[in-house]
Amino acid sequence: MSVVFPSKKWMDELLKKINSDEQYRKVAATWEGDYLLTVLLDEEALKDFQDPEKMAGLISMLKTLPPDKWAKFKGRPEEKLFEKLGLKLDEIVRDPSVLDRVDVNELAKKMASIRLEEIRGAALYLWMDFWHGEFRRFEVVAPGEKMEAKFKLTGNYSLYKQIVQGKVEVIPLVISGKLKLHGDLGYMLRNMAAVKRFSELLASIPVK
Amino acid sequence: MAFLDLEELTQDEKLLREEVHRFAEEVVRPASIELDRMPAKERVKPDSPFFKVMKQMKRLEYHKILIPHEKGGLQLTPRQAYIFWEELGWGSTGFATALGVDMIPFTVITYFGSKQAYEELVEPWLKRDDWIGCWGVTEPEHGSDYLIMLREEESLVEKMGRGNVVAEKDGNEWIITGHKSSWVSAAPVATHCGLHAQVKEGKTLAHGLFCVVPLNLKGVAKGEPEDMLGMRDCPQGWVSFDHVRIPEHYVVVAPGPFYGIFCDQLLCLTSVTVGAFSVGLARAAFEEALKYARERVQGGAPLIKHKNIKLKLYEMFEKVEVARAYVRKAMEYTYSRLYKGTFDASPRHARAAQIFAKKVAYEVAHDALQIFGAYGLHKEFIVQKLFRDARSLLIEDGTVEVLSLEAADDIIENYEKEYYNAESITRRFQEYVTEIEQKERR
Ligand SMILES: Cc1cc2nc3c(=O)[nH]c(=O)nc-3n(C[C@H](O)[C@H](O)[C@H](O)COP(=O)(O)OP(=O)(O)OC[C@H]3O[C@@H](n4cnc5c(N)ncnc54)[C@H](O)[C@@H]3O)c2cc1C
Repeated sequence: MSVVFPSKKWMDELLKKINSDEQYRKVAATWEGDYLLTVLLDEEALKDFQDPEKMAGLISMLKTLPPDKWAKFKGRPEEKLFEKLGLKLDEIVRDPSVLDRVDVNELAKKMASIRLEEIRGAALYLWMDFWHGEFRRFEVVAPGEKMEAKFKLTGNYSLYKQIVQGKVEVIPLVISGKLKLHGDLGYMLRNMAAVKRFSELLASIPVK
Repeated sequence: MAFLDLEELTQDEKLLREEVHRFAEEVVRPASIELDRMPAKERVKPDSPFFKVMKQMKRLEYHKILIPHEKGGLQLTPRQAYIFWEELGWGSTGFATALGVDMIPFTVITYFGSKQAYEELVEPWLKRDDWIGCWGVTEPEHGSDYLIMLREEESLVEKMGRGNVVAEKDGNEWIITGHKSSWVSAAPVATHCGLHAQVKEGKTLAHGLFCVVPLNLKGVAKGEPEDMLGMRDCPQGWVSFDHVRIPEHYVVVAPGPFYGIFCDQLLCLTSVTVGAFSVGLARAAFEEALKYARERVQGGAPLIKHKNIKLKLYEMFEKVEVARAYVRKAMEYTYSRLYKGTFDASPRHARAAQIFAKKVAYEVAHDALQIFGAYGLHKEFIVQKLFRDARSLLIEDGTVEVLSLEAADDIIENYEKEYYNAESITRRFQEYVTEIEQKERR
C-alpha cells in the first residue's frame, strides 16, 4: 500500500523498512553517523502542497516537533510560510496543539496564492541517525538544530521527491552538485554499499 | 613470445591474453610502426591507419572493458583488465593511450553521470565505431600544476594562477572558454572531450569541474597533430573553446569536494592503466633484446654468451617481472574500487605503480637499445621506437618527478591509514565552493 510523501506515515514506513532489512544490517554494520537533510521548498513543493492529502502529510510531520523547538522558526522564511497559511508562529509556540485543529483543505487552498520569492529559503529539516546497521532515529528538527551532524545534505524538494520515487540516484546528484553534501565524502564512498542499499529501500516504498 | 606468468592464469584469462596479443601483434603493432614514420598531418587523414585500428578495436568492443554489463559493457575483471592493458601496451603504448583516453569521458558518465547524459552520449559511443574521446586536463600555463594542486599547500595553489579554460554558468547551460595544451592525446581526431575547467569565479585551479564537450559544437577548434619524439602513433594536439555552450547535464562532476576526490581517483585509474601498458612496453623491449642477443654473433659467439649481456638480460627480466606483479596488484585494488562505486583507491599505491612501471619501461628500453648496438638506432628496428615511447611515458599523465612528489604527500599524511583518507581534500575543496556560495548569498 502506498503512503503519502512527505508524511509522518512515510517516515515510520522508512524506519521500519530499513530496520527489518537483513542486507542493510550487514552492509551498514560498521556505519557510524547521522544526516541532516535540508529539503528546500521549490515550485514543485508549492504545487504539491495544494493537494490536501500532501498538506496533511506535511502537518503530520511538523506536529512531531517538540513544543520547545517552534521558537527557532522565528524570523526565518518558514515563519513567512506559516503566516501566509494563516498560522501564527507565536500561537504555535504557546500551544503547538493548534496544529491538531487546522483545516488542511483550507491550508492547501492558501498554498495556491503563495509565490516562491515570498518564502525563498524555507525548508523542512529532517534528521536521520544511523549506527552499526540500525536506523536509530528519524525526526523532524527545527532550523539550526543538529548542525553537528556528520553529513549535511541540502537540495530542492523536487530532487528529494525524485529520489524517494526511485527516479534518480543520490550519488550522481551529489557529484553533479544538484544536491549539496557537506561531510567526510571519503567515509561515505568507503561505505557505498550501505548508501546504495538505503537508497534502494527508500525507493522501494510506494508513495503517493 | 610466450612467457610463464606466476599468477597461473585461468583458461579464460589465457584465452583473453592470446586474443589481445594476437591483435596487438598482427594489427596494432604494424599500424603503430607505420604511423610512427608518417608526417604528423598524414596521421590524421581519414584513411590513416589510426582510424582503421580504432574502428577495429571498437568492433572488438575493447572500449567497453570497464563498462558494467547492465550498462551495455563487457566489464572485465580487474585481473583480466590488467592482462588486456599489458598486451595492448606490448603492441603500442600510443594505441593503448588512445583507447584509454577514448574511455575517459564516457566511462566517467557511466559511473557518475545522469541517465540523460548516459542516453545521449554513452549509448551512441557504445554502438558507434567513429566516436573518439579525449581527456583535456593540461593547459599552456598549467601542466604539472593540475596534478600538484591536489595536495600542495593552499597558498602555493593560489600562486599557480588562473586556469586557461574557464566555465561559466548561464541559466541551464555552462559556457566554456579557453585553451588546452598541445599535448592532449587524440585531440586532433577526437569527437568528444572529457574536460577539466576552472569555474569563472573560482580562485584557483582546484575550484573546477569536469564536463563532457562534444567537439562538433560551435566555438570548438582543434589543432593539427604535433610532431613529437615519441608516442607518434597517438596524435597529440590542442583543443580550444570559444564560448562553447553545453547543457547542465554534461557537467558530470560539479565544483566542490567531490571534484577533488574525482581528480585524485581518476588519476589512480589512469596511473594503474598507464602502469600496465608501460609493463607491456618493457616486456616488448626485453623480448626484442632477448631475440636479438640470441641471434647476433660478436666476439665469435652469440651475444647471450657474453656475461655483460647475460647480466643485462637478467636485470631486464627482473624489472619486468617485479613491475608486473606490483602494477597488477595495484590495478586489481584500484579497478575493484571503481566497480564497487566506492572510488576509494589508494593514491600512493596507484601512483607508485605508474612511476615504477614507467621507470622500468625506460630503463629496459634503454638497455634493449644498447644490446642492439647501432642497429638499435636504426628505423628498421622497433627498439628505437620503444625507446622514444618509453621516454615520452616519463612525461605523459604526469612527469615521474611530480607524480612522486604528489605520492609522497599522500605517504606523509596517510601512510598509517588503512583506507583512503579524503578528509583534507574534501575540506579544502569544500572551502573553495563555500567561499563562492557565501559571496553569491551576499
Ligand atoms: C605523450 C603525451 C601524452 C599526453 N597526453 C595528455 C592528455 O591526453 N591530456 C592532457 O591534458 N595532457 C596530456 N599530456 C600532457 C602531460 O600531462 C604534461 O606534459 C605533464 O603533466 C607535464 O606538464 P608540462 O609538460 O607542462 O611540464 P611542466 O609542468 O612545465 O614541468 C616541467 C618540468 O618541471 C618539473 N616540475 C613541474 N612542476 C613542478 C613542481 N611543482 N615541483 C617540482 N618539479 C616540478 C616537471 O617534473 C618537469 O620536469 C601528454 C603529454 C605527453 C608527453
